[in-house]
Amino acid sequence: MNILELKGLRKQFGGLVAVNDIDLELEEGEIRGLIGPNGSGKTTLFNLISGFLQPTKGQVIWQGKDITGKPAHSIVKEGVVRTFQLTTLLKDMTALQNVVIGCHLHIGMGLFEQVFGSAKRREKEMAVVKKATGLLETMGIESVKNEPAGALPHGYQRVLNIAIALASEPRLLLLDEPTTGMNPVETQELMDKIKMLRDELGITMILVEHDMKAIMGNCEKITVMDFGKKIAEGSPEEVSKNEEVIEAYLGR
Amino acid sequence: MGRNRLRTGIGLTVMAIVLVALPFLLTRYYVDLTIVFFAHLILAVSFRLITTTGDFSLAHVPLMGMGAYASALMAKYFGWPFWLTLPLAGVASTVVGLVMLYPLLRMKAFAFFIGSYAIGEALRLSWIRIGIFGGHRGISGIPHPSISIPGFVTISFAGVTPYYFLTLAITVLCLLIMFLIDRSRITQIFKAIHAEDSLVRSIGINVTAYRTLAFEVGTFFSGIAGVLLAHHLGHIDPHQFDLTTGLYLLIWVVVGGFATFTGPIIGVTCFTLLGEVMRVFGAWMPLVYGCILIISLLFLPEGLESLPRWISPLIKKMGISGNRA
Repeated sequence: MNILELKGLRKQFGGLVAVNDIDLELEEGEIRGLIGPNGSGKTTLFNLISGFLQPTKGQVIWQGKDITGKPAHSIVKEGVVRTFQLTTLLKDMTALQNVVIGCHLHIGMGLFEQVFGSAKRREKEMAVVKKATGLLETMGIESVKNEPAGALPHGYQRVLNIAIALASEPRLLLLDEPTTGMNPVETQELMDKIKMLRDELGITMILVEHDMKAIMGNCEKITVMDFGKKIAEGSPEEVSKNEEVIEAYLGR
Repeated sequence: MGRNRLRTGIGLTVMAIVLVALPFLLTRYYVDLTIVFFAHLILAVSFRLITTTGDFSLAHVPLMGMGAYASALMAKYFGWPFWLTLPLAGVASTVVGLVMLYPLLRMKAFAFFIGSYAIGEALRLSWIRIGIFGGHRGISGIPHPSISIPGFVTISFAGVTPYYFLTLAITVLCLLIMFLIDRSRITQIFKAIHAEDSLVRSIGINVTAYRTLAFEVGTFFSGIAGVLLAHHLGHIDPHQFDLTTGLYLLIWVVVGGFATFTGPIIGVTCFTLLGEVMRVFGAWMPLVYGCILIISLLFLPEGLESLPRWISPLIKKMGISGNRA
């Protein structure tokens, strides 16, 4: 069964069609690569799926349910979580605090208890800290948990962003250029972790990436966008031989 | 840790003794001043609570006025007891605040600041226009509060000393609740909204709901501050809640600092003391305030609360160089 289906999804900013009638089907457990030249609408597509933008037309079907046009925070509750192209962290807080804040949906406390609760609240808060520490361990950055997020090296910040996203317990993770600014070794390490997340936690993923090597080597299926349109889809080999794709990247 | 706790304990005990002894040591004038100071404390701390989400509201003072008017009307025309009008006035402020939020939540940062001024001013002008609020002259003869358990006992707070203790108790309670909110997870989320609102949305937090929460809790307490002022002064009019007061509030909190809970407390305390010392300047006071604001923004952009952080390394440095000499 398809876990996610996009049907004729479209976003128009005035005269500009940023996402032009995209159809997409995603199987559970898939790691889908999404590539395309700058400005081809990849991030806009993420914004539409995650509810950060409202589509002009079309549908987002998640696990058989229409979630089109829902606000971002309720889409996260459904299990669809995105990360950002630019590093987006609470810079003054430590790495651990960032993930603790990220656990918002699963703290199991009402507002009243958060302010006035005592013994039981402390217990629940400890549980959240434990969970957050576990996520930092999963991503292999527990050694920097007490450093302010803003002071971390860029690569760590990118990974921390994924740890924060994991705190919401996603079923589908939309990763927007997770490896920008990483060297080839770091990139492969992160790719291995992403595969590990899929294998062990069963998280389905869409990966926007500029690093062709990373995406060709690690995704079973790739979707290519250009000027808001889907121009190709298939295995890495198929896509890399596709005339239209070569044209989009290299010019005519 | 233990030593710190001991120090805090001693500090709080000394403060409690001073606060209890105050009305017996000071003249009537200064007790009056302290009561107003307490109301201003609640006002400034609740204002800072809203600013943690990044929303600087110039409607805060008119909303305090809303609490004052609500309590005054309920006490004067319905004869309702104080223990009822106090929370109801807070509720009245939050209800009006909720109406204001409908347009305000669609604004952010500077637009919110200016928008809140406009809508606060609209509220204030409505008191001048609508008959029941008494126009420019406002409402006089607001009764002194009394708390009575029918057939059992009646406590009147007509005198200045009993009213002082009533205000003190309410202020301590309000500050305590806001302090608990400040150290809870909720305030962390407020601050996160200020710092990175897209990240906050991406972890499933309803930003609009949390901004509403901050605004409404802060507004409730501003209403309480208004009640305390109204029953103390016995008279309220629209001019008490105009932009001038709003700007003073802004200066207290900016000069005191709004990064932590203590910032606005330090700000209000310093300016209340300063206001007394500088009373000779009379009409020049706004100029003095303005100069202090500019100096503070230039040399202490994080407010008076950041002073210890600046000074302690300096003292250490001096200590070391002194040793060398």
